[in-house]
Amino acid sequence: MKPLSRRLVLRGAAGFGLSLPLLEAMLDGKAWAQAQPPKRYLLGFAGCSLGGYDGNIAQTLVPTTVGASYDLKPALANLAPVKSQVTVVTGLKLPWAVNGVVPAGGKAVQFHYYQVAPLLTGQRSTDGSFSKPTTEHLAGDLLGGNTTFKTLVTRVQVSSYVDAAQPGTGQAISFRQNGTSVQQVPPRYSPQQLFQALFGNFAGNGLTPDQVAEQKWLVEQRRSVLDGVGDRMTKLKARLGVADQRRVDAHLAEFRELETRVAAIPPPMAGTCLKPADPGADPTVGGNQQTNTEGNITYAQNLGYSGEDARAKAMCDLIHMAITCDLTRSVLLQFTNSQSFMNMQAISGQKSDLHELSHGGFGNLTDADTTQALARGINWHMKHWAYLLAKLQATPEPGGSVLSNMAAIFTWEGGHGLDPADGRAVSAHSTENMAMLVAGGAGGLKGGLHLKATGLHPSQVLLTGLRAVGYTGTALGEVSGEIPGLR
Amino acid sequence: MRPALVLLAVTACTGDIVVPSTLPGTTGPSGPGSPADPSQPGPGDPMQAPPTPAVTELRRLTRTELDRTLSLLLGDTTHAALTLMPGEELTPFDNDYSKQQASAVWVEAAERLVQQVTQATLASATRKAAILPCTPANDDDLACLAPFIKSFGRRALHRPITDAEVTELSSLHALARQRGTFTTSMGLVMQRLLLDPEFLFRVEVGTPGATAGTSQLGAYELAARLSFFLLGHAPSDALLDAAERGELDTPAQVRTVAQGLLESSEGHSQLELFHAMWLGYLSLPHDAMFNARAVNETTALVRKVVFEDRGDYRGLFTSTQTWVDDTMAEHYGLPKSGAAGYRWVDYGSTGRMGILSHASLLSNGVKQTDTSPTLRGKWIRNRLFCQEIAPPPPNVVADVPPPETGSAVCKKDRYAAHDQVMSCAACHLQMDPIGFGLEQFDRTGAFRSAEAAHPECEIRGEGALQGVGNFVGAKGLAELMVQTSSLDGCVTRQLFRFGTGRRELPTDGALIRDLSQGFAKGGRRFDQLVLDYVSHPTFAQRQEAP
Repeated sequence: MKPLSRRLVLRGAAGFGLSLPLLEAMLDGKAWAQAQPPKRYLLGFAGCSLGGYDGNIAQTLVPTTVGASYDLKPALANLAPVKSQVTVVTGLKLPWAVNGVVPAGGKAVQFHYYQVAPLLTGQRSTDGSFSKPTTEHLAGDLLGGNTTFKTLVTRVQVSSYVDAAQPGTGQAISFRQNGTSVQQVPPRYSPQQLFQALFGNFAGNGLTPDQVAEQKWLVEQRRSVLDGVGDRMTKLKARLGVADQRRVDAHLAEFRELETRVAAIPPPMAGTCLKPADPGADPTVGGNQQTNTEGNITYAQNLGYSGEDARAKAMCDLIHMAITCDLTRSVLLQFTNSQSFMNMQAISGQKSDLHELSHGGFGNLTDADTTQALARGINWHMKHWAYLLAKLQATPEPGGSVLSNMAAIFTWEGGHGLDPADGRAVSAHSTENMAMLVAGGAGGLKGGLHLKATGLHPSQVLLTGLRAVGYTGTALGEVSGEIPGLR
Repeated sequence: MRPALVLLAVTACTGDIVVPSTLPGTTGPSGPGSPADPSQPGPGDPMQAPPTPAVTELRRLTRTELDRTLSLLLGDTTHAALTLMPGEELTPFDNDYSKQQASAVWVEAAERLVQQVTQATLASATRKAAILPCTPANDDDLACLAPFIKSFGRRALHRPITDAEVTELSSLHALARQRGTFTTSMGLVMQRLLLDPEFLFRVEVGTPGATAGTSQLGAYELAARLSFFLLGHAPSDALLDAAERGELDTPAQVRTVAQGLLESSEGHSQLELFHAMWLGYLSLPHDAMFNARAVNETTALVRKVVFEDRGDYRGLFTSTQTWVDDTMAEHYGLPKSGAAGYRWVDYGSTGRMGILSHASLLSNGVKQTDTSPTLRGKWIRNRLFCQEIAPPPPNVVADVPPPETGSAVCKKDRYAAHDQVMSCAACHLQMDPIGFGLEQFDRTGAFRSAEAAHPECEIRGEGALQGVGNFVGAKGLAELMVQTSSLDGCVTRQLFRFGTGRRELPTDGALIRDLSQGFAKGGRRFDQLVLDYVSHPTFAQRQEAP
């Protein structure tokens, strides 16, 4: 078995005081408190647009007031407790193909999923595929240092809930660089497994010496098993051809990283870093959507829904503490799948799914309240986003709070306006009038504003956030330039 | 005119039809990104070239394979694998190794799964006793730990465990005994073996063959290949024993052993799973009761054709009866019996025939709340003709069905928009006319003669298989498909894809050709096709991936 590396001991004992000399760091448990906290990057994602057919997002989402003291419309109402921290950027536009030619940073005329790659990478895509890494990985590579989770990729919605979907499946939105191409990073979608991964090796407070020894022994067992598995994979490789070696290597790397995470000594639980409560067993995974003989989706309570409301809260608690304890400095929190078919009944009382809400919906909705109905669905995302931001803001750290040292950006997959595919002037299938929310004080980011960024590319918001946490590139994919006034 | 023995190889949606005159069954894919067409002539003379060993790569066990294997090894009935492991994308099979990507989420889930099932096994005196071949005299009884490692290791890695491995695994005992017992040692050994790459992956090495890059599988490797393919889990003790006794050394022996596996209840289930994934009814979108009826109906026909009648596989498409209860009979417009339970009912003159009339298959190719003739046609091309249709270009929208306009109200007229533009028509003419031929059957397989929203729009079910002929309804399509005989090649290909966990390569063409020709000549018995495949000399061989 490999001995514990010095850097792990350092990281564990000293929080993020990595630059401190060993002894000082080891002896002074509070050394991190005087050190400069690292910058962190957090990206939230909602798999819906801002408004439906014939809706008016000026009434449901876009603040009327520009600048400070903006007004919160129904879709963003739950942001109230953190409004002073959140800047709303509106009027963004992601370009699309004209005469079959996809412009820089643009998408094909089709909507669902076709816009996600250019949105999250700034790089044009004709078929929705990703060719550049997404920003949480750029940030993780930049900021991660020796943290145990360089980039933490999470998702609340368990499954895509259509066709023969299984847990963990759905359109991929997180890609990291792998050689000359990019590789999908599947999300962690189980709160219980996320808890185990992040805090499984944390000792609880108030344990007896014997309990501490027992816990240490259990960690030793896991390390020993994983180490043996790694050695076996290494030995096996020698007997395999090149293609199989590549497959073993990819898995070996994941096993070795897991072993390293298990071996990492957790930071001392003092001050703000505390082992969070075990979220318990995950809520039951729901089945896929079903339709009745009339062809209407039934929206039965156990279909299309796996307790995502409780899962979202659990994940926000875990992410808050993962950032506070400096286990990670870059997080993707995807609430809902791109083109989300999550059943909204338990969430917002609407017998529909998020995708249908965006269009005017099935079930108990009437045309008159469709955009209001979608606003309630969006506001569910805001409930959890505000909860997470508030927790980060309430956690003190040099510079003010953890949130003061962050760039926390929330994005939707679409906007509201022209659908270039069918010519409708007012549609959810649009990348006109997109919006993003920006919070955190890293790099001089400004909160509490409504900025009209008419016609600017949404990736410019991500680029501004990245640069706020120290990214020196001047472009994200093919998109360059920060959002004026955002910092 | 309907050419009797025609098959289509459609190239990149140009509408050109390539009609090879001598190859029964294999139809070519088209479009960018699709695999090369094995039926297309390549270097040398492909008509004469003998089959070569198929390329295989390391394959990770699927969720289902893990679940079944843990159940076999540990008597685990909690299906923890299905709860903990991330699911697979169906393409349409769940074992496509090109989709098996290493990830933190998978590795963490695997570790947790192995911890859980190990704990649960050792917490049960009965289950623990079932895997322990001796009774430990005390907590340090290494003389009992060694035989345990040998017996459990052989089952987990499906090969004998070497003495060096026994020594290596025994070294876990010291750590276990720091605070634990003999059972703790067992647990560590189990976790280590259940996370071993030879457990989590299907590792095939073999001994080098005469041709560079090829190798002959060892008996245990062949036993594993047979077991995973025919039963969906790692080989049982009995199968490993057979391998050890040399009962898998010749193709004839393999055929005999395979027949036994195929005829077990697990063997039947596995072939039913193959059909459910291939034909798109693994997870149906209707209410649970209806889904169960639809799956019952199709599974019954598969069982009847494959395992009961053991006749011509085309019976799946030409059956004049179907297995329904009164609720389903009423749904289809068939006579009711007045009694509870399922029975075979004649289709009579309802225009139905075989599996293409089943609610299960007809649930595929739906857009929003109604059938999409385009998607149904595409589905038939993909699944039953093994053809790929190129995706739409970036300047068109395929997200919503063609909308109503002043002059186009009826579905047929709305979809005609696809045919008015040359660039659309090239692809859509391959799909839409097939779908329109099935339009009299709605998304649940119920009959309709007019559009619900527009009663003035009559649905006539007139369809066409481009370049082959016109047909009416599910019965007409079934008859036409059977006449083209392209089914033989596509069935063989789908079975090959399921068996190898990948799409076919040009180098697989000769094997698929030989198997599908043998299938056609031998009366098209599906069980014999499976046995022909596993007893083909190349099944015991592999080719290193380039």
